[in-house]
Amino acid sequence: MDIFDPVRVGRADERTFTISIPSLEISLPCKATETVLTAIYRAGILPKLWGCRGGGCGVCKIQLHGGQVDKAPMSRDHISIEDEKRGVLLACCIKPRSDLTLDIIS
Amino acid sequence: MSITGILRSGLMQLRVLDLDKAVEHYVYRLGMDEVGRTTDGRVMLKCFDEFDHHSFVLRQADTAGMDLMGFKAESDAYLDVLEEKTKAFGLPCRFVPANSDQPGFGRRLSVDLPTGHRFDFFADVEMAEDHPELRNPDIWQKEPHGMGVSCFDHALLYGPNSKEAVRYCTEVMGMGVVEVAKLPDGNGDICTWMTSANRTHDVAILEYEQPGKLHHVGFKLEDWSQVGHAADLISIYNIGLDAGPMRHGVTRGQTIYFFDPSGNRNEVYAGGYAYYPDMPVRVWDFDQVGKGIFYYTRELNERFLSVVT
Repeated sequence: MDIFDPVRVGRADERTFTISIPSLEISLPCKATETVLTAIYRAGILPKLWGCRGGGCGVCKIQLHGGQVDKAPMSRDHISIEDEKRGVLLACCIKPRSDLTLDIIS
Repeated sequence: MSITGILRSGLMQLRVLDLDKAVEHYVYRLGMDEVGRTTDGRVMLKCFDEFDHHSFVLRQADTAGMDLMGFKAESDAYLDVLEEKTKAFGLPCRFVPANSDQPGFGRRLSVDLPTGHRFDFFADVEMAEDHPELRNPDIWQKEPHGMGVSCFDHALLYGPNSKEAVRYCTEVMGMGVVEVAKLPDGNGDICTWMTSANRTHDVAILEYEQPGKLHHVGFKLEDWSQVGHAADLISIYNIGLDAGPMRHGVTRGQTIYFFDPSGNRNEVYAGGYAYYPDMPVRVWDFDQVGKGIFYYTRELNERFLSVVT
């Protein structure tokens, strides 16, 4: 299940942000209502990141370099509190609140 | 009754990252019913066709995965036999008092498997208030909802020392090996499906580096049309689909896999043959495992093999 249930969100946030992945030399559009992982998957790249999509398995790890995100809970088996503080996150558990710059870790 | 010793799997406690979303998933999507909550906030669930107090527990935690899997034994006295056999086998075990962390349950023998999983054995369980009727029974008391799962059925566990764990399951628990998948070199097994009674499996164990991992928890559906209904709900509610609808070669089950909101994999399935202890073991060569799991596409899916909680 998409962890962000659109039924519960209320009024849809219609903004679209840009995700830049410098190491891959690509930029992707990502809606405010979808996860970063969904945007990456839709672009047809890195299919191995498409794991449990609920923050449990840890296969979609990224390093956020810049930008603001909303976060859902991520398993501490894969993202420690320290990781989270320095922007190591699971792409399935974050939604953009601004343009983002990130690298893929997994 | 000719089924003795361990009767079946009958309890699973899962860790979830968001309890409310997990309850919504297991109650409204899979179709379980909430039995109640423990004093420490865990949620007890059961399926409509189960008699025992509860069969499934959700615990809010900061990791996903499983805490323990429980198996029902023929009698409370048999737990003492199991304790003796477990100690002789060489695995750590202890008794958990009745009506403690699992309300409605008698004492449990808790065993640590070398795969990093915990098995609890129990016999005495209070009958659920909402159980299948016993006199001139209708097929159900309340209309099944969601996917309409009828019982918690089995789990596939990933961990190291699987050969030793399988030996415990067969020699101490008395389980039958139903099917195996061979390692690439043909020596030894990478995965073993085992049963206590007539199900094609109560538990399967796959050799894996990291201990205590859960591949999936499986629930029973009535037939193939219910698998299609489950697939419809997965799309309608935007549930993370993993694989299917499809059939397994292993067990012949008709099935679909998806993830709960914390990333724990679920299976709902129907069919499969009935196992009897006189049946020989069915064997899958490593290069045929794709067909064994994905009987129609015959291709292994990397996510299905490697994504665990």
